[in-house]
Amino acid sequence: MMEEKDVLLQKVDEYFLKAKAASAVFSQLDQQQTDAIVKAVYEAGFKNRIRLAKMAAEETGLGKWEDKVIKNAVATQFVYEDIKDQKTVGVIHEDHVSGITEIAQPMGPILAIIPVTNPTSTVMFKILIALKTRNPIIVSPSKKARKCSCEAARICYEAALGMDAPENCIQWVEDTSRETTQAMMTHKSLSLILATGGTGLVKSAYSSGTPTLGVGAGNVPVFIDKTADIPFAVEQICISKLFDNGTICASEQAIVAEKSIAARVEEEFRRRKACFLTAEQVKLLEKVVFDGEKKLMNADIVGQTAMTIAKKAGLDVPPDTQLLIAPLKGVGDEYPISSEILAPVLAYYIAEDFEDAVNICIDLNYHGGIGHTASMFSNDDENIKQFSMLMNAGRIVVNTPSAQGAVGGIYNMLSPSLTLGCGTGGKNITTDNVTAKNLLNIQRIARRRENQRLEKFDKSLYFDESLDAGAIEKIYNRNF
Amino acid sequence: MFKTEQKDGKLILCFEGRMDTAACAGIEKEVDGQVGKAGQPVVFDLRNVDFVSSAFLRFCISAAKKTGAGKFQVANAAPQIKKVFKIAGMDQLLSVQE
Repeated sequence: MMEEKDVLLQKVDEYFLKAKAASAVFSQLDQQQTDAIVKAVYEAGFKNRIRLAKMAAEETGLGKWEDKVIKNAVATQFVYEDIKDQKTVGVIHEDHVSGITEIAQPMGPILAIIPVTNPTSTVMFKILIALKTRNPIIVSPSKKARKCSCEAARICYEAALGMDAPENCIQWVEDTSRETTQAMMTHKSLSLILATGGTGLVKSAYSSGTPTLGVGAGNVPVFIDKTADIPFAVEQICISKLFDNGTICASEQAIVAEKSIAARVEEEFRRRKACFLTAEQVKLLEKVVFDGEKKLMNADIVGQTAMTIAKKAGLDVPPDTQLLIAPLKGVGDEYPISSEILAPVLAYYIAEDFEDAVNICIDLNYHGGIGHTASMFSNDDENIKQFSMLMNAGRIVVNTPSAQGAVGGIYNMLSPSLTLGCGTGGKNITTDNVTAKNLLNIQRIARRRENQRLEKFDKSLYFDESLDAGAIEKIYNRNF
Repeated sequence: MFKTEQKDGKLILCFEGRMDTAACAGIEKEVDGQVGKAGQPVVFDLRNVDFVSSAFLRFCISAAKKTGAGKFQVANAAPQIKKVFKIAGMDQLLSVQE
C-alpha cells in the first residue's frame, strides 16, 4: 500500500502533468485568442461578484460582503481595463535604432497562494493576469476560505473553456493542506509562485527554490501635515480603514498629526464615530488585538468590527463606535498597537512639527512595514517629496484612502493589483503592484549594431598604465 | 482529418491541419479504435499539423499506454509543434524524422 506521503506526491504530480500540458497548448495561442479568453473570464468573474462576495464573508466571517463586492469588481473590471490592451504574446516591442526586439514568452505553471482576507478577488485577479500571459495557474486557497476560492476558480475556468482555452489552464486544490502547498512549491515543474499571504507563508515560498513574487507585511503610517484639508483627510482615512473592516494590508495603521492641527483632526475623527481611548483602555485593547508571544496581531480580531473588538476587550465605548483610536507615545514592541492590526484600530501620534512627524513615520515604517505603503495628506509638494524620500515604501499614496489607493486604478494610475510588491525591504524582488507584465519572460533579439566609438578607439591605449579613466574617456568620446 | 498507412511493420496515422478540441472530438473513437487493434508499433505523423490541443496530447498519452513501452512515436513535428511536446514534458515521444 502507498504511504500517505506518496499519495500526496502523486496527486501533486498529476496537477503538474496537467498544468504542463496546458502550458504547451497555451504556447500556441496568439494575442487575439488569448484576449478573447481573458475577456470571457473577466465577464464571468464580474457577473459573480456579489455571490462570491457573500460566500467569502459567510465562509471566513471576515469583513463586510458589500466591500468584498468592490474588491471583486476591482479584481475583474479594473484589472481587465488595465491589462486588456497590453501586448503579451510574441513581439511586444521593436526598436529599429537599437536593433532590439522584445518577445514575450509565458513563464509556465504558476502556483497562486490565496489569502483568507481577499479569497475571491485575489483568485480572479491572479487568474486574469496568468491567462493574459498564457500561463496555467493552480489556485491554492486558504483552508478557511476553501469553498469560495475554489468556486471563484471554477467560474473562471468554465468561462475560459467556453473560449477554447487549454484544458486545465486553471486548476484549484480543494483539499488544501500545508503539506500539499509545500510539495507544490518545491515541484520541479512549477515556474513561479504568486505568494500573497502571511510572512511565514511568503518566506516558505521564497525558500522553496522556485522563483516567487511575494508580498511583505504592512504597517502603514499616515501623516497629516498642517497644509492638509483636515475634514477631507479624516474622511478619506475612515473610508479606507473601515473598508472591509480593515482587512487590506495597505490600510492605515497609525495617524501622525502635527500638533498645530491635532485638535481639529481629533474633532473630525470624533464626528465620524471614532473613539479615542484612554491609557487604561489602550492597555485592555492591546491584550485582545495583539499576541505578545508571536509578536503579531491576533488572528481572531482580523476583519471584525470596532464594537466586536471593544466588547472582547471589555471597553466601555459609545455603542455606535466605528473606529478605535489608541493615542500612543512611542513605536515598538512595548507599544503593541504600533504594529499592523488588520481591523478598525488605529494608533495615533501627535508630532511637534514636520520633522518630528516624519521621524515617527520612519519608526512606524521600520516597525514591520518596510517596503509596503506609506500615506500622506498634504498640499505642499515639497513636503510630499521630502516625506516620500524618507519612507521605505513601494508606494506612497497622497491625499488618498491608502487601502484603495495602494491597490491602484481607483484613486490613481497605479496598476490595479491584489499583490503589492514590497521591494527588498519586504524581502521581495519588486516594489511593483504585481500585474501581467511581471508574469512574462521577455526575450531580446539583439541585432548587430557596432559601437562606433570603440571602432575608432585605439585599443592599445588600454595597456598604457599612465592613462587614467578620465584620459581614456576623453579619447574614447572624441567627436571627430 | 487523418489517414492510416502501414510502413516497415508500423501503423502510421497521418494527421492534418488544426488538431483543436472540436477536430479531436470528431476523430477520437476512430483513432482510439485504430490504435487499440494495431498490435504493432504506432506512429503519429504530424508533418501537416499546425496546432495541437489538450485533447490531441491526450490521444498521444493514451496511444503510448496502449501500444506499450517504446512502441509509440510522434514523427515529423514542425518546430512549433515540437516545442509543444517539449513544454508538455512529452518529448520522449518525439522520434527523429520518419
